[in-house]
Amino acid sequence: MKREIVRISNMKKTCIVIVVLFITVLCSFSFKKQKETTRLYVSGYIQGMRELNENQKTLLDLIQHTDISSAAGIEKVKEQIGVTRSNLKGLDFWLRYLEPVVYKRINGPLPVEWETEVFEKFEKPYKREGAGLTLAELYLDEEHPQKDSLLKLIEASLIATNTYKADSITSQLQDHHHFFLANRLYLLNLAAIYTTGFECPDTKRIIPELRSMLLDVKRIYARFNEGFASTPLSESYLSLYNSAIEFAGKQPDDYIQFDHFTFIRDYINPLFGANQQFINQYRVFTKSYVDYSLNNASTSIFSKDLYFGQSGKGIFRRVNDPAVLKEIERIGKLLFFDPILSGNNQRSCNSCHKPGEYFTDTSRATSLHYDRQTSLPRNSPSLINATYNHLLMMDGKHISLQNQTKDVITNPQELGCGEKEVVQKILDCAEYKKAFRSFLRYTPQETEITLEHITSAITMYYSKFSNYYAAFDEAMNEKKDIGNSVKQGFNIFMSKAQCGTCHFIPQFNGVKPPYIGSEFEVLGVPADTGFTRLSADKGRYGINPAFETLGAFRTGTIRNAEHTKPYMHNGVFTTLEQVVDFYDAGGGAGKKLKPANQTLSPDSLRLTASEKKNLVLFIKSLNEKITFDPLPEKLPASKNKSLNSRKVGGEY
Amino acid sequence: MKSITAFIFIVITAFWFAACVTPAKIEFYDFPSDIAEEAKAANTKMIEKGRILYNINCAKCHNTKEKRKIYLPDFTNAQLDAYTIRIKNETHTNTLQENKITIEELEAIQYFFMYKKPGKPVAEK
Repeated sequence: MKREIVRISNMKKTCIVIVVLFITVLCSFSFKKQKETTRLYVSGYIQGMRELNENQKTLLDLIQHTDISSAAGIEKVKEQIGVTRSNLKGLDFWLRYLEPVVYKRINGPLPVEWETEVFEKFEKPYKREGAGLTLAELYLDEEHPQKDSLLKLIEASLIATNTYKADSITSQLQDHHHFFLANRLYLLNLAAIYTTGFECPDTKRIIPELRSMLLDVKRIYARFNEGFASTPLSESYLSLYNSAIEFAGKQPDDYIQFDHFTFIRDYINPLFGANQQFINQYRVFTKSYVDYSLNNASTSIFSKDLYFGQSGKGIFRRVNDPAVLKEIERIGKLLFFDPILSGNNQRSCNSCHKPGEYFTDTSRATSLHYDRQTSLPRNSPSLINATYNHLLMMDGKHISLQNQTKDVITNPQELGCGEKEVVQKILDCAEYKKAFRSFLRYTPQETEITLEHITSAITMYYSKFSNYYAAFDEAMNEKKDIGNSVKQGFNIFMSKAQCGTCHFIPQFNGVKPPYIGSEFEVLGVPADTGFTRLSADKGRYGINPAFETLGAFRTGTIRNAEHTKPYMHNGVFTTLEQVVDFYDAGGGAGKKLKPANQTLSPDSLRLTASEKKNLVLFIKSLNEKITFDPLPEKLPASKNKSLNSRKVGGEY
Repeated sequence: MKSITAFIFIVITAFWFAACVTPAKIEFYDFPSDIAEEAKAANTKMIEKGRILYNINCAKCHNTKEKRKIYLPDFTNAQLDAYTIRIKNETHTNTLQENKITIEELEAIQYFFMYKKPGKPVAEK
């Protein structure tokens, strides 16, 4: 009997072993099958990289054996650069996403960049030298190009491509996660830079390169769908993508004639929306800092929730109760108009940021000094859409809205109030004290009420005015008609006028996809409208002194521009037409002011009168339909009776 | 005389009791022996901030319960690198975004783990 049981249990064991073996074999088969098709997808990448390497080597070889002092030689080299870049564009889909920093050495637009990206904004900016195809092409246009320098630019790009063969990068290709995130970046770039000539100095090649890139990515799509059958791009996505290819194919070769508006509205933005759906449906998660700033829940490029940017909530960022948020906002509003924030109790945020004037001061070129007589060096910026920035202030001095607010309060030239003093004065008002005491519950990491609680309430108040949409957004999102002139103005903006290469879609400021850095530009802004001399303001140089940063300013948004005059850091221009004329002339360099380091091309854009008119009409279509609320009727009473006659919004 | 002795006894007991009930903040941390008192106070403030932020944002997933006692993980500095912590895994991708927790706050948590005595339970349950 006992023996029987043992035998049965032995048989059981054998059975289990057989079953396990069977399952293992089955698994390994299906695994192998999946690996085979995945390998096809990955081999597309490897094959592409190999071709790029070969093209780079051919280019090096050609340069070595070509006389680049002759026009014919330069033409020959340029042609091979074109072939190589076309090849590169087919891989852009992966390369830009997988290693955005190294990419700049393969095909960067700038010889020197000062980086302040992602986390790096918490550290000192550092210099990064660009290299690669675009810089090589631009270098060939200089007088007497030297072979050595040219070879260096291409060699650097060859070395950079080797990074992409590292295991840490190719291993990411093994699952579907990277694909949809790379695709998102690709679609954002299709909207923002690929049609503008951002990295393609030869404008004749922009649209042909776009077409071949669209086709190359179609092949990537097909291989992905084969390799990752459980997380495919849908039929409707692919069919819309094919229509985009067809549309681009039928459009004129000239990027000025290209219909940027329809391309984005009817193809790229809907594709972006579909891709966001895939990201959620396939539970895509990121392993790259490139994705931090983007919201997976956003369904349109022109939705205000696409880019996280700055937190208006500040220290209250983890508060989600709408009633509490509303109360913080109410207190923030009172503080915004309360001159108690200033040393002399006569100035408030409202002094330079008037809600009736889109939270800026349209009456002055530059803001009034605390001394009530002199002027500050810079124009008061609008607070609307300030949240959609990576760095703040025109010189990028601050990395958070709350720090910026604190600086204004404590700056002796602006509100001139000490940190301890302002907190005390506010807590001397019973209404404020009661409110902040109750808010303290939501910030358990803080044991007492700090200036950050106060600045966070203020930023929360004004940030809500950044959630409104413009007619242009509605045209993109809901296909509302905005008229032909605006469309044409947008197409000029994206092409001939070269605006879109710095004021990127959709924030129309210097934050370009994937929105992890702020760009600065040197425009050669004059001190006066007679163009007698350059503005003496050193701009970014004051924060990060370097040859490239002298007179550089953070690119601001053109949303609501019609309502936020005067323009430029020193408010030198009072009309949009003046601004357009300034750019049309080639900035300060075009006006013979000779800035040493202008980043804007000194050549005239040769815009016609009607092009300029449409351009301004387009800019006006970016006016947001904001509902402003009235000023508070009265301010909280203070223990200190002498403060109770203070004026809502301040005296000056 | 008797009542004075009783009073002193009560006071001492009360102090002893208070010391036991309130969490022993300093003892919970491991400071280098040569650290100045001032620096210790400043550090303790930052560390306490980190501890509270850890409890709010991380404890739910990272604390472990053993024999009715709750243990904190003993993360190393390298594991807590604020630059990569946000992309460690799927959960972090969703919970440690900039709109939920700032880099400064992540650094405070890192600070807390730097000074926390390893292997000690935090509380009984």
